[in-house]
Amino acid sequence: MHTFILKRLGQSLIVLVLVSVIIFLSVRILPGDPIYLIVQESNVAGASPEQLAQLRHEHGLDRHLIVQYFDWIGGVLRGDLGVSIFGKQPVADEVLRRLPITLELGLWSVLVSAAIGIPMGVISATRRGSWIDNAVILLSNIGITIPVFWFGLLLMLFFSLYLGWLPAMGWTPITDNVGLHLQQLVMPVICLSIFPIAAIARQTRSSLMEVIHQDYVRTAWAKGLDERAVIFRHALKNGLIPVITTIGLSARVIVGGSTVIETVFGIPGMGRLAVTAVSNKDFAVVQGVIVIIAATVILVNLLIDLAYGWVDPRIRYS
Amino acid sequence: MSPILEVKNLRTVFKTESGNVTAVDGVSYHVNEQEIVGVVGESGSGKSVTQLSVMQLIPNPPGRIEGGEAWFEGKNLLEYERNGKEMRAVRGAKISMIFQEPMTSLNPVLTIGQQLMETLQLHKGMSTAQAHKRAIELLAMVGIPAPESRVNDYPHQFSGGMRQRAMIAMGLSCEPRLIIADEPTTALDVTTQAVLLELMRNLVRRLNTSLLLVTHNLGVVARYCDRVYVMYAGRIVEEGPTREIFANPRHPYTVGLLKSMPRLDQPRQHRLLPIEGLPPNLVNLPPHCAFLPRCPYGTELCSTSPAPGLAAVGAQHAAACHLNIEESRT
Amino acid sequence: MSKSVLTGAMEAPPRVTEWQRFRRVFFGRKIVVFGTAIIGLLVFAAIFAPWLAPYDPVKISLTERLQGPSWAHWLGTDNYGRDTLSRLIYGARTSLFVGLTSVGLASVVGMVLGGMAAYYGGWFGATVMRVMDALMALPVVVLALVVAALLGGGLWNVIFALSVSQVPEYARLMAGQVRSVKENDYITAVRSLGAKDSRIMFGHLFPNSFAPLIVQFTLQVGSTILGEAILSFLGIGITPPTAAWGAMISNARDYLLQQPIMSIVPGLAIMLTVFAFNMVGDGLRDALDPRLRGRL
Repeated sequence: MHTFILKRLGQSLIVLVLVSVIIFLSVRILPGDPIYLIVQESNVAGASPEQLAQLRHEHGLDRHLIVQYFDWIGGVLRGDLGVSIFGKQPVADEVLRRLPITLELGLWSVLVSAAIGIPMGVISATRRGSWIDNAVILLSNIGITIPVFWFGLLLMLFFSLYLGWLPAMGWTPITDNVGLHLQQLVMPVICLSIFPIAAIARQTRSSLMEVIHQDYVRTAWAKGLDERAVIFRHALKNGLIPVITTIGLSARVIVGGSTVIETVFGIPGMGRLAVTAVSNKDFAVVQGVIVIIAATVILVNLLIDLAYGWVDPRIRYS
Repeated sequence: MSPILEVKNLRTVFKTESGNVTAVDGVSYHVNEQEIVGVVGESGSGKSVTQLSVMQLIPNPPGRIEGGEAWFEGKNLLEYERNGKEMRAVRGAKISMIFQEPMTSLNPVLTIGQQLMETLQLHKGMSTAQAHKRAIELLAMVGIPAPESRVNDYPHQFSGGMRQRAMIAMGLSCEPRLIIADEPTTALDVTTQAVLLELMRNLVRRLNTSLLLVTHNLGVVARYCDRVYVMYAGRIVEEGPTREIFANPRHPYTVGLLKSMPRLDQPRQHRLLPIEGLPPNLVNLPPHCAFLPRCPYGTELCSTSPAPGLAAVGAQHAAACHLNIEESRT
Repeated sequence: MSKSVLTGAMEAPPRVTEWQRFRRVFFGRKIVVFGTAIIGLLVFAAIFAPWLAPYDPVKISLTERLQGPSWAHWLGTDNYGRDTLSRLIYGARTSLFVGLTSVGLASVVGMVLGGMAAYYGGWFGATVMRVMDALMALPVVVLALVVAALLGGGLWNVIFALSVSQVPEYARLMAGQVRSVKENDYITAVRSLGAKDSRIMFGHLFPNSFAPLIVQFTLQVGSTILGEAILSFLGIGITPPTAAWGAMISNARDYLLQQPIMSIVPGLAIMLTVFAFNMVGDGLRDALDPRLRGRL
């Protein structure tokens, strides 16, 4: 198990380094030299080549790419993500303020989607062909096709504008007002959970249906166990192994979805930061945000691998 | 001796894409107290499905028990609701099963101990501590070394032979009246097979339990079984005491099986004769004897008459054949 | 168990051609037929948009702003007085074009990369697959967002962005396929007969990997259309005034209370389209890959 964790940890680090290299290179190599943006921003109209070179030097952009990369990544490791070209403030501060918000949203969404998706799949698989099974199939098919930002608007229209039950937009820290904080969480979390719920329900259903026909489930029946024990003790634990993968993939989808959902509901999280930085071409922020997002996703994948070991003794003891 | 299990006219049908398959077609048999009975046949003969039907363990859909009775302790098991309370009280407690694949028949995510204990707690009402102690005893009984530590192992940490020992321990754990072992040793190597069958016989004797041994291996039958049923295409084609069947087989299929089996009592250069052809397609069984296409004795009568039923050919010995092949045998 | 017991005794079922079997399974489910019909309708609308659309989709008419459904404008008008139905029909063009082109591009590049990585292995294969892992660490939307940011908006940049974010999935799928096929005895047999690598790859590996890829392709078209909608909604996708469903929703957002139909209609169009592609993808999977039958 220890070697398993170490191996996974090593692989994750490699992937993370690669992500940083890729994002670094794409920002430098692709059109849109950051220096022109700086020039535009600082309103140095008709900057002379010398002035440009001076600016380049100031921002360290005249050094070799490899030196620049190590300079940047060294900073990242020390917690210094650089300075926003526009806001002139440290990117790290911005990230630190916003990351907890997105993490809270994401955590709620993962919990909600597992808590709803798994039971849906179990009921559907054990009542195959019944009306409830058909309802689950239909709902999960809708869940993976619905544009969530649009669904968010519909929720807003209905629950906030027509019924006035929930605040339409915004974010209040939990320390300011717990009730409002939770109310403002409801619609974003629903939106972020829709796709994962559907994906988890589908995966649970199909993997449980496969497990139900395994020899060891027949053994469990032959022992005289009742349906509850057969399903929950013998089938589900095995059936959940592929579902763990789906939950991991859902985490990625949730992080991706946070960009658009935070935009819809005006939540000042990482997703919104990424969108704003991208629209402003604020590449210092983009770089930082991407590395943090990638690190988060990789960390989640690592946790997922550990969860595998927890559920499946064949991995734990190998 | 009275039968503890008596099955009458069992009929099990599977729905498949290419049509209905009658996997078990009017099978009747019984097992007496403390008796070891063999059921022999090739894959697809219905020998396993018969046993699963009695325990109502046929996957439904696609399988369905369409008729028959299975009398056990004065009750017809087939009248019980499939996974109902009465049926569950029989499974594992009074009739237990040992399955073919020790690799896949044990749950990979539960320890051997957990899997042993759950029957004890369910049927014997033992506490966790009692069940744990009993599980260790059971593992010791089936010859697993260091049972105190192995009880906490997962199936993948056991070898194939040890897994099957654990399955046997599970089967015996509640001291059932009947154990149905479905090809219990087929997946193992020959030496392990012999050791485990020996172990099973001794334990069954010790616990005064009956054993129904489903196998395709006539050698196993000859060595361990008191009586034997030969199945072909979902029907019993011959039944009788083991000795009698081996000495005096009356169905051409049994004759073929015996000829295809290596025997120590015959000269080494004696040739083994396989049964020609393939088992029949159960979707469209012919109206006549199902073995006819492969039968070396087949006559005009066989192809024009309906499939023959079992008829007595000796004391306790019956065969389903139109012909009296005894004298034509060479 | 019972199944293996039974099939052992069964002869081959009556012969039907592959095509007959495909048609029977594919059109066997009503929902798949429905999906196929929707896609047919969309393709028709996309091709004949100029003849089908009652108005010019980009023509601004400030006197007809924010109207509800009427005989003149069946689905109302937007904040510039543009006809929603016409924009919806032209939007189908954008969505289908972006969806099909990006998935086509991504699948070709991904398949070649993944196929080569798995076939040749070694440091080359390892590097390619690690880079794919790195790209997979980023959510599709985020990756597309970054590419769109670097290149700017516009039709082709959106297509490129959406392709890049999908390449890893195809590469992985293809690599897995090639690896499993490579282990197969028949490839060893072909190689022992002296076949060249390129011949093995194009003559034997690709045809055998075809079924799962065509299924993936269809399912992916749906999610790519969703991706395009997200980018356009965020304002970094298709540039106005070109009609795109995501941009229509984004635009309608500010008039949610005044004219909800403006938001609702394009969303429904996206949903129906994605649903149709998913259903057809599922149908194809059932019909092409019997091993996966019975999945949801």
